[in-house]
Amino acid sequence: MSKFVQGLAATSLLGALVLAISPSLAQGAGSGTGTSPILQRIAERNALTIGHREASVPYSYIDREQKVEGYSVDLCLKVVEAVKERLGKPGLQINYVPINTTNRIPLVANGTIDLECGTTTNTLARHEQVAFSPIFYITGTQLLVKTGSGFKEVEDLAGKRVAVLQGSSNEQSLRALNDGKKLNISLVYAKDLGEGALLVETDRVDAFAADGGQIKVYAATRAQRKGSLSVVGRLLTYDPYSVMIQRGDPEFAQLVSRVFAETFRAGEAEQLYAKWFGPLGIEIDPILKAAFEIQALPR
Amino acid sequence: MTYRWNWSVLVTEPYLGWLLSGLTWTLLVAGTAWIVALLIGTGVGILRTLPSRTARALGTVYVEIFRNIPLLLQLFLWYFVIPELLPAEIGRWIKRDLPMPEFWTAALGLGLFTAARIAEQVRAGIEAVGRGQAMAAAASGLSTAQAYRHVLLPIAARNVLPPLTSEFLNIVKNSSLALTIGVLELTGQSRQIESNTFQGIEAFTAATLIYVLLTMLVIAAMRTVERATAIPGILARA
Repeated sequence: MSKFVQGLAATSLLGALVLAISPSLAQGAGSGTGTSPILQRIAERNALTIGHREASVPYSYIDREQKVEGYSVDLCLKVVEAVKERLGKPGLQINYVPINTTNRIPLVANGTIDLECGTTTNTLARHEQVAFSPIFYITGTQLLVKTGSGFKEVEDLAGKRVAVLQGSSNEQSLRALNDGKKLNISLVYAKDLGEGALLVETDRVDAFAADGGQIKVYAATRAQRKGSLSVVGRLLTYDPYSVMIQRGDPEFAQLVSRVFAETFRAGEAEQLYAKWFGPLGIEIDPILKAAFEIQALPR
Repeated sequence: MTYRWNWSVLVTEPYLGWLLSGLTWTLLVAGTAWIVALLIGTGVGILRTLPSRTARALGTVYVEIFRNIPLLLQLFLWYFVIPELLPAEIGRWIKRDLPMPEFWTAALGLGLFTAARIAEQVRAGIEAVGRGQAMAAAASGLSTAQAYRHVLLPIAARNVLPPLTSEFLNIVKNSSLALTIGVLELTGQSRQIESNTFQGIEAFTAATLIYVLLTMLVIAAMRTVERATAIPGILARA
């Protein structure tokens, strides 16, 4: 009697095990939607939604023909290709949704956006809400000043006015530095990159503290008079950029990691860097090059 | 939705302090702007009802300029454009030596904009008193100034109290635009909390509730003023 019960229990346990495994056996690893809710919703809608920035040249922006493009967007398109292949949907559509620093995290967290392709710093605190791709760009806080102002480092700005972006990581680090070193800098809050630069150009502030990569591009391309703005100072923070995806989907996260590793390994990331930053006269940083090599995980 | 709720962020330091500092700036911007708007708005509103054609034209020009340009644009103009058009020294003083230039720009910009709207209400309030009263004042030998001081304005002021309440509410809410020129008022601070903690929904909910509370206080206060100043028989109670 008890043997019969044991046998029954064992059989049903085995049955349950087979049932649990069978879907993945049937589909094989790495094809179809698997157990990934993100891939499932992409397959259902037959569309993938990319969140992009509107004016973060050359990372993620809308060009004159109203086309969304940039370095971050191109990297995301590599992921899109992999999703198309995996789902067997070559005709998969891409929806573009503009995002800003305020709404980007909620929109990824609530599933409106499948891939966030902008200039988001990968921080541990943000891992509480979202998941991240490997790092595709490295920068840090630097200072945009008027050429010939004589300011070299943040310490030279003691008692001066310095603009920061509202709620940026640059603002947090500058505030900590200001308090720690008693520099008595008064912070002025700007809404976006263009406004911060305008504050410098109109002498409202002595410097604008922001991501070095972005203000270098601004100084090179958008300064009112060529050469009137320069970027100075050591890197005050470490800001690695990653693509954000919804949290809690290891299968999709793995797909993204694989695409990035392959893009790094094949040297495509470096080519894309040259494509977007070359025309601006900005060479690839040795640290970023090393990051590409380190993250080019073998198959 | 994989959002992780954390309401306790609202009562932890430094975020609670940020919210309170935001509330303080909102009150300061709205309060200063309200004083500016009431003074200038009443002045311009009176101008628009005076017998003098020049005075009426002046009032009309003010109202049309300030009411026909979006408030956001006006703030940008005051902040970015006007200091560049002024002589270099004055421009520099506004940009650098004036303490809290962002606050003063926001408060004055918002005040001047709202003044145009208040002027229209004051004008309507004076016109609603009726020609009869004005004529009677003139017939009793009062000068124009005396007629305004003793007859027209006291009644007009009571007439415009209800629409003024709406303007007061608008000024509280419009003060959130000050964040676009760098004043970290309530909305600005909740965005700040959002980008520091990623608990945006909590921060914006808190800001919403504070605005609602603030505007309800304004409504209650204005009702009290209406009741305290009502003249039985002249106006129906609001």
